Amino acid sequence: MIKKEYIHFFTRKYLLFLLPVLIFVLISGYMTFKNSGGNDESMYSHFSEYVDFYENREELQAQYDYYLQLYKSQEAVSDDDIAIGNNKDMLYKRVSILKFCLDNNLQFDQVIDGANVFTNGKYTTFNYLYSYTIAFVVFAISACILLGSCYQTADTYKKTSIFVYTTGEKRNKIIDRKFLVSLSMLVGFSLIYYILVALFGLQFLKYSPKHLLYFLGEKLFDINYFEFFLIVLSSQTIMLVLTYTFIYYFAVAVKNPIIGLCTMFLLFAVSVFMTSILNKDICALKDFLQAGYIMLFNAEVYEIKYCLYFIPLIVAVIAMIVISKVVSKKADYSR
Amino acid sequence: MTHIKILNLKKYYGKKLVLDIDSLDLEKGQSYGFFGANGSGKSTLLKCMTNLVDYKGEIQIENQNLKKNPSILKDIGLIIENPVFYNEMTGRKNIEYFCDDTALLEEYADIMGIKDILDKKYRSYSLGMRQKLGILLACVKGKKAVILDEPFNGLDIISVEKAIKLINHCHNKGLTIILTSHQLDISQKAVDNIYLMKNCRIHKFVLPKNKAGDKILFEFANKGDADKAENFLICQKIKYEREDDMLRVFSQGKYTFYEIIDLLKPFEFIKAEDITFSIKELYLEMEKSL
Repeated sequence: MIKKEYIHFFTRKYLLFLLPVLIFVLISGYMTFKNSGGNDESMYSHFSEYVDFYENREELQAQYDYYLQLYKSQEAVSDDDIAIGNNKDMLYKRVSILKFCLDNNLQFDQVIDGANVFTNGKYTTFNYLYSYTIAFVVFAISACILLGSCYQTADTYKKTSIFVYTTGEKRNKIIDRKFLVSLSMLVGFSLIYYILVALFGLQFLKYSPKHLLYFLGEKLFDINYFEFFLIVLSSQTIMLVLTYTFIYYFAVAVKNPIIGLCTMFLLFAVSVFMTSILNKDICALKDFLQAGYIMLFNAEVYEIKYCLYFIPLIVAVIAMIVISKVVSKKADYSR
Repeated sequence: MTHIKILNLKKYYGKKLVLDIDSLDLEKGQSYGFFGANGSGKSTLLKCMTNLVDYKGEIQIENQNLKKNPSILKDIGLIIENPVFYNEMTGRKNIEYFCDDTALLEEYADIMGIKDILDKKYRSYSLGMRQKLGILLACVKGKKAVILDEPFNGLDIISVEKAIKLINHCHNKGLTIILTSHQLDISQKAVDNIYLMKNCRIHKFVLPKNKAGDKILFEFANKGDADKAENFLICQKIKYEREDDMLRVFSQGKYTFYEIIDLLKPFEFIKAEDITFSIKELYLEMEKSL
């Protein structure tokens, strides 16, 4: 049956609506990468806001000593200092990164920090992958809403459900199989997209720093391009699975593709609107919902506590699965 | 041997009771027709039998509780109301999608006369073709029973005959046939046992122990011909009833249908119909009495 379901998946015509979204995503990713801030010169250099230019190890050592002294003196706490990134927190990060460069004997252009990937435009492999990843979120959410709302409920809507649910299989088994097939197609497509983007990103390998440095709390992480790709992939996939699961089982519970579509579009629209006028915590939640925890590495919100947003999301998804199973058991699939 | 057993079945839509059956046994290999007015609960009964709706009470198929073991529906073919398939697939692909064993597809499609359209996209099918495909699926999938809700909707006379032929073919192979219909006179050709549904309940409909040709309806083109035929029947001492230009002739077992027709041939009737088992008339009589 699962093979039949996979073949049948491609007969869904409404999937064609996703084609313009994908084209938009590709153009948007290209524009984000191409036109983001900075001049041509800085696009290929100065990958860390925390490291001033140095030519040799002595200059790096001098820089490190200066900022370490400043950090220890605890004098830099004024508003002006905060504005130029010399507050206590910033100084800690600056010192940590400089120490990392010293310990690993790295050149000026061999490290990039999170802020330069997530907020500033640079022509690096990391920026390329990140630009197209963020653009892909639009496609991922659209696909989740469209497929999740329509994949199972289209049968109920058109009344093909009479044949679908009288084959002798348990209802929930049929619903779960449809879920797994549609989810695997969605995840499979995302996987192909990310692999292709990651491969295309390699064209900037020559100009790119090899070390991406970012903080989670006070801990400094050093990751290479492949590890960055895995983080992007895993975070996006986790969010995709959770979002799709919630929407799919919500639609199963309400039994109507139009209600499912409208509710979910409304939910996402309201979340985007609300977060644009509310505080930082809510912004982090919006970013989290939209893009997974990769967005939490964003310079403004890189705090691990935001990963706790996973907990209510997982609880909501599980609750929706349980509700839909109870509802579908008693549902009338003939009208 | 009981194939389908219904016990204390109750179905509500909201607070309205639409089905109330204390007990009903449907024997294996028999054919059953459920008739009744609109909203009498015919379709709801079949929806309960196929687990499409939730209900109170118990339905057993081959001694297994349907709610607990929906897998017993695997060998039951069905159409409920107007069958709807996937537009993007051909008729054949649709049947293969809903039915694992399609060994009988070609043979049955031939009987139904839709072999040549099987490979066309379902979207291009007319209403009648869609109905025929539904009947075909039900018969191909049904290894033990076929459940048909209003199977003759939208079919022309020839297609109805073909559908009845296919249903009877399945019945002769030992399958249990259950159908509902508004077209009583057509449907009676496909079933042996008839139930009437009224006020949420079912009533066994017993056919009179007459022989074919015992009651024939003749219609004449004008009053003169009807008068002459009437005089002839009086002379021959054959019982009849007169209504305008129509005569209901009761052969009382003395003549066959064709012998009566031969006798009245000189009087130029325009229509002769054997109404011995006219379920329409019997149904109306019975409904009045319930």
